Amino acid sequence: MLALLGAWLLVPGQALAKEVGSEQAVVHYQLPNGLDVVLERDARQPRVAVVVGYDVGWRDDPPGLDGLAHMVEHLSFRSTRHLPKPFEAGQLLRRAGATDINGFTGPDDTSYQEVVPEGALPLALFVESERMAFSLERFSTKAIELEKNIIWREGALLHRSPEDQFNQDSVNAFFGMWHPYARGDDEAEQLNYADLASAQAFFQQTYRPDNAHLVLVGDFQLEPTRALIEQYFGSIVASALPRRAAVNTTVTTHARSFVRRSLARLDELSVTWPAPDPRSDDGVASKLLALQLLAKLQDALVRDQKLASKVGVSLYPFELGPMLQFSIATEGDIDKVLPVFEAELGALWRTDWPRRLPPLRRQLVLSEQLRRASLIEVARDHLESARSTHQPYDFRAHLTQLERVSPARMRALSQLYKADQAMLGWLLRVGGTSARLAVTGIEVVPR
Amino acid sequence: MTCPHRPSWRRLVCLIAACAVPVLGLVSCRPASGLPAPSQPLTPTPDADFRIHAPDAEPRRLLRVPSLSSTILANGLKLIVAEDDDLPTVSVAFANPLARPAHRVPYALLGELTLATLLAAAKPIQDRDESAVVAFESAVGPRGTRLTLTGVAETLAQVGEHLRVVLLPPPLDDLAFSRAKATLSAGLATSHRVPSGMSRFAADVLYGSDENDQRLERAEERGKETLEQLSLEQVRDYYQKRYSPTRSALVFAGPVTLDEARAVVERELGTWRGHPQSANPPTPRLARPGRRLRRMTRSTPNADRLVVALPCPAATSPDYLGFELLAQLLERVPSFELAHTLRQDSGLAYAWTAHCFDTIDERTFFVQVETAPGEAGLALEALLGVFEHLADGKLTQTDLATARASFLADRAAAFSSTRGSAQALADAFLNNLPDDFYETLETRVNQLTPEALQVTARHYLREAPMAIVVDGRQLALGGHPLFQGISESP
Repeated sequence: MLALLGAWLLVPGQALAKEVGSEQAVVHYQLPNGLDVVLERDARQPRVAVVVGYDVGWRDDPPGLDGLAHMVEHLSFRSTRHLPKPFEAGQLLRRAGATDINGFTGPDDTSYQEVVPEGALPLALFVESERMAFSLERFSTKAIELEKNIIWREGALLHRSPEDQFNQDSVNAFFGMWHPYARGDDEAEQLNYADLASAQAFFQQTYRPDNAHLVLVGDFQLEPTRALIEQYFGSIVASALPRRAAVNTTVTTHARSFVRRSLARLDELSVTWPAPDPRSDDGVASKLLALQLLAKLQDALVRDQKLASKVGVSLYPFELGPMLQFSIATEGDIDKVLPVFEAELGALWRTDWPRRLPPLRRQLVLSEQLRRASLIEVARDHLESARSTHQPYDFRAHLTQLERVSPARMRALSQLYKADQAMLGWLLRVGGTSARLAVTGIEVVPR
Repeated sequence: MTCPHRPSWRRLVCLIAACAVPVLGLVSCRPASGLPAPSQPLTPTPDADFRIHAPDAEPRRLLRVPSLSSTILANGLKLIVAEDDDLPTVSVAFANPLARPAHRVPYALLGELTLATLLAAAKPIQDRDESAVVAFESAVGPRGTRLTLTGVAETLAQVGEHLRVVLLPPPLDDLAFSRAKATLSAGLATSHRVPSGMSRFAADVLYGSDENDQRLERAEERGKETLEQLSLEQVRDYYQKRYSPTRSALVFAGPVTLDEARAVVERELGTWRGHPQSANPPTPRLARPGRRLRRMTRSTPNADRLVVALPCPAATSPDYLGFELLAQLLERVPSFELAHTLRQDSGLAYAWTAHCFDTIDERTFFVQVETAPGEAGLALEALLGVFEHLADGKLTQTDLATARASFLADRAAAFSSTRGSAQALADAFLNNLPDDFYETLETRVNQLTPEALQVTARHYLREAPMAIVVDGRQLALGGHPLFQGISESP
């Protein structure tokens, strides 16, 4: 319990090393080159989650080069100066018993992760420091051409289902096609324009210690680990190019509705609103509200009226505009779903919040504790918090914030989530029964 | 004046501008990406001697199993406790080996429907008591039923109450029954069951079946239709005959002692009695000898898919651990090396999994590969080459160490949470494994030798039956000798 709820300490720079006590569960400091470090000791298993995050995501793709951030993520896996064989780093990690080896390019950040036996922590730190300092010089035109092919196939195999396309439609319609989060169908075509120089410059602007966070969560000894981090990362020098400026486009408009007609298995309705920052009081209250509405929709649509097969909710923490989205999938008549949704939303504001808030709080706490059973998830909480608040994640503070949510605040949310303010998305099966099937392809109705 | 990195419309604008005012030179098409030229040197970080060799991983303990204790209560219920004071939740898993799926269509989903009805009957009672929130997870498989409840650590007593409400429910009525059917039916519509449809087809090729087969797999494909055939009376009868404290187990995991768990169970379930009727387990199909190749007729636009299925040893078999390590090698080590051949140099194979699954027949091993169109044959050739590689005894101590670490890592992930611990121990009970299975696991894994794995590989990968199913458009199966003699069916 202490490991999960423990206090954290900000230590700005190595000079304060003596202030870091072994009793501290979470330690936070920066190396002189700017690398942000969060360490949390958790001895439940003899393993350590290693996550390195860079403050660059697909929103930072240069104009006309959608997909470049993703390609650079791929290129950084191929080889480094001191691990020159193809994919040698990954093989070494696997041979050491690492799991969860992966890289992710998200809308706002790019991250790399692995979970290693404690005896392989030096290897994992070595590998990540090699990626940061010595992978760029191994980029080549041949590697870029191969990765274009691999990324195209990755998209074709994994991300091009009708449901995935519908999710991207939601983002495109919500933010608008000219927003940095939007992605068209021509990403593969745009990547054809990527060349060695653009990949190199993009890496130099973004893969650098003053734009990165290193997070370790697991069973390790604090002082020897700090020394290792200093050895492997302390000497890394950022490129002479200036750091890439963050894209900060504000959200001013979004669509009223959109329709995609596709070869999907089920019809789907999505209802999307702009949401507050998930870390704010209103953001936390929105999570509770989402749980309450989700339970009501499941009872009404799935269990009682048998109109839907599945109801889900997601709070997307996009930095340039979080969004709250409900999705309802059905084999039946999709046109009957929306009236039920609107009725349940209307009834939501008559909820007896003084009675419902305590169990909703407990439900949220339990679901977060179940999620945080994974070392990687704990590390990712720190990464997200360090990126957005410059502090490690404090689960205890989160619990306090939850306790602060009042019935009055829940009632105030009714102003944020009005039915006529939502964006509606319709994924319709070819051969389905919806009256909206007259639409071909994608149709977006602007607000 | 150049206009690199441009999508078509921007390039057009650029060219128009360039042509309109070339003489004045007033318009300059800067690179559309806005990226500067890379700075030199590319790598400003100074090199260092310590980087010449990657650090070796130090061999240390790889798995920490919580302290285990167990007892059998007066009503025959087995109680197992995995005590771990550092975890913030408490979980209880109920394991019932008798409540497994029937293997004929009319009753195929009866186990799942009975459990769903129990949960539906309990829900109104649980909803009235909002003092504690408990997460439920249920699984009905060939080895029996597993129901897991998890709450925050302080709610052990309430978790016990929820358990009683589910296992000793009020009379099962039509409302609970219809709600259970709706929930289960909706789940069948959206779930992607494991093994997948293509793997299920591979199992049919391996074990032999025809279109009139009425076994569980077919019933699940026709889930809603099967559900409609089941009645509330059948559910009540199933509950009466299959749910009983005798031959069942409860596994507690988290900050809880054996005495605390016993007190909770005796308070909530101490009066539970029952005499289950022992149902005959389904007769497993045995794999047909030889290797069989099938092509699926459905077309996939973006990829070829390949599934190889073969029998693998049961959890109680002496070969179990050896095969599990081979599976680790097949999924993680050679797949990574194959990735060098199949993916990285050609962009060929992207998704690759290799696992043993409990099926209604023998336990079955499935390797699934997704490749670029027309390239499944190359992947198959490479996979069969790896089978031969392992059977020929070319396994090194390094490979073995990798497989050990990888296998134990998965178990360590499970024992990181109370939910994972309770479920792992419940599954061990359902599989008739000894109580100390996990406590001795790391030692037994470390005792395995390359020679022992070679014997296992010869038996299961070279000599055993095998089904190969390919779904793709332009198959190029190549000329590997192992393809000779494989029968092909439309």
